[in-house]
Amino acid sequence: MKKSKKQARIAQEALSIAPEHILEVRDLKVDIKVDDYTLNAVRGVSFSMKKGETLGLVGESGCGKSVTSKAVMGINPDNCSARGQILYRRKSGEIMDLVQLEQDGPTYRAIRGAEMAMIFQEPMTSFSPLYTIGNQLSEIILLHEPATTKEQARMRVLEMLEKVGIANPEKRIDQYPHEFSGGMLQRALIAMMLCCNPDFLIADEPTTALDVTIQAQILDLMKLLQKEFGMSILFITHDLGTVASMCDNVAVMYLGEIVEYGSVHQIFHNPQHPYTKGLLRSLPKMNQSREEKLYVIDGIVPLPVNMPPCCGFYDRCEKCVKGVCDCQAIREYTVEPGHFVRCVMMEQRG
Amino acid sequence: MEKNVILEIKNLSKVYESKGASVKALTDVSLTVNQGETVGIVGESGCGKTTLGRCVVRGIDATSGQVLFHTEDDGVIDFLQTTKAQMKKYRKDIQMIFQDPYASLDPRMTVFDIISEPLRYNSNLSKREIEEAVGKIAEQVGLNKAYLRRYPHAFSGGQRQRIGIARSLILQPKIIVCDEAVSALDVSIQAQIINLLEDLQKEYNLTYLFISHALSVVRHISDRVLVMYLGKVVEFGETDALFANPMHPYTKALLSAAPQPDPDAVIDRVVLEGEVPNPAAPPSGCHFHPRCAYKTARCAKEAPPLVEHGDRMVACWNCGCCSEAD
Repeated sequence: MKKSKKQARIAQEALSIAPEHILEVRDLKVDIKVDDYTLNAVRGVSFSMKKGETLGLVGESGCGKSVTSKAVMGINPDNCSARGQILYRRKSGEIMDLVQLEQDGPTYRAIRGAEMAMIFQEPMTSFSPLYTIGNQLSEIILLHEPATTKEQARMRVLEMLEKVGIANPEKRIDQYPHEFSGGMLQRALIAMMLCCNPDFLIADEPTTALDVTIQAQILDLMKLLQKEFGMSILFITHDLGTVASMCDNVAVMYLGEIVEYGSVHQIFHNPQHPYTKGLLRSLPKMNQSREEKLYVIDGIVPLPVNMPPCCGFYDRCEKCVKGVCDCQAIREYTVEPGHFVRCVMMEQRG
Repeated sequence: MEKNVILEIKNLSKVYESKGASVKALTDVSLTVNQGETVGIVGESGCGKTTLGRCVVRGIDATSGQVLFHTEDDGVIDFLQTTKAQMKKYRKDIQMIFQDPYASLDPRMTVFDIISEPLRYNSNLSKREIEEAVGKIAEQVGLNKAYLRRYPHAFSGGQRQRIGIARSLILQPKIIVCDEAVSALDVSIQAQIINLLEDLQKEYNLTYLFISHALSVVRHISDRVLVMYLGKVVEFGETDALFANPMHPYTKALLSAAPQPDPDAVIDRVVLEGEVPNPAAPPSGCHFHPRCAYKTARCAKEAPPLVEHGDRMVACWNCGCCSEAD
């Protein structure tokens, strides 16, 4: 990611993405250096997002979903190196390749927070315990819009707190994070991210740490705000239930690859990849007979060290074709428009 | 199989005292558990489900009430009245599996030591016999015997949970309290562990108290389900009936809030207003009334008792109000 400014400028010139898209990720690869080996955390991920769309990035721990989203946000630690393209349409209409940008550079800092925001899994650790909620929320406005006075910023924060359903915002704004419950903090975090009116939001397991009744409240709130502000949301989760109720499209990740991509209906009603099928079948369902045994995907997710370009799922897959799945790169097959799957089984079907 | 009562919990209460404030974590919880069944305990954080589990294994001492354990030879024993020495005899009959497979294993002990530790304290087996027993149990929970001399850090989350299960099984307990035993695991691993727990239950006629906030998991594994809210039981009944027709408004809201992995699922979602109140200052009357859509004047004044309605136990003045509304 360290290139000279001139090189970066040249690289930025000839970029274009489809007019309805806000984000196009092309063949993104992220390696993480750990001690004496390298993890191939993301191994060639491509996807695009339309304006106002909610894309679910689903997978188990270690599948690379968080690393992918942090690469978009430019907040991966220094031991990560990204290759490929992350093309992003800024509010001004300008298209930038975020991979080429310096992570701590002025352009990225202008994008982060103001145009692109992220909410994290643990609302309890996302705030500093030393400053009031109001202080932390107005900071982002004062940073991105230096012309704003403190009073104006405070008014905006109050408005946002009210918008996310925090009762008694005049009192709450001067309280510290420890005086908030988990659900209220998540609301405050959403208010913080709304302060600068971003049009692209990354939500990394935003409700995993919350109770179910609170989760339902937060998901409803996010849907409502998305409608009002027209945001695109990249929704990262391992919870297929949340995905079904939140997302338009779903990308299923396994070991650093998107193994299947489709609309939420295509993925849940007509899954094609053995991993997607297994994942859906291994989930206890509310309308399933209790006598039925749960389907089990044998084995565990391996560490992606020195991965050959092959299907990451081959050693856990029932349908694995020896000599193909474990040594060849698997291309993407189209099931029907908008539904892609990375599996050799599709070849045999023709 | 005939129903043999193995555990009776009667009017169990636990009050945590701290400077000036007292928190009623459990209020008058009663429940009877039969041998070989799984009782699911659900509720949101702060509802007292973990406290209940810990009081049952006497990890913490309850403030009042009884935990009656039906032994094979000595008749009925109240866990809360036994002396330390007596307790030692029965500890092995009731074991626990913990939520966090990373925090519940000592990083400085080998897996063999972890699994065999209960045996070393509770039996007079020779070294060789211990080794055999550990080998057998390891095989049963799906751990490779060759790895037993390794330390926990070398294992994945799912494998660690298997180690925890092996440790709890080694004394051949009758009851296992599973406190969020699968919550920290990935979906594909979660299914492996749930199936393992079910297989072991069949083989040893184990009784589970399965504490969890994951409703679909509880529904899958439990025979009966206990729903708790702010330290009290609000509903208790057969799993299928309870899930099909919740009779307490809180149960109904809880069930409807659980996201289902089906984009077409028609969810008649009851989104509860507000949050679980502070247990140090619970609302008057029925603890749930400030968030309840069916509340009446009586709910704010008097706490409803847990009353039998057919096979179901429900604590609601307007029991069935929510099921009629459909």
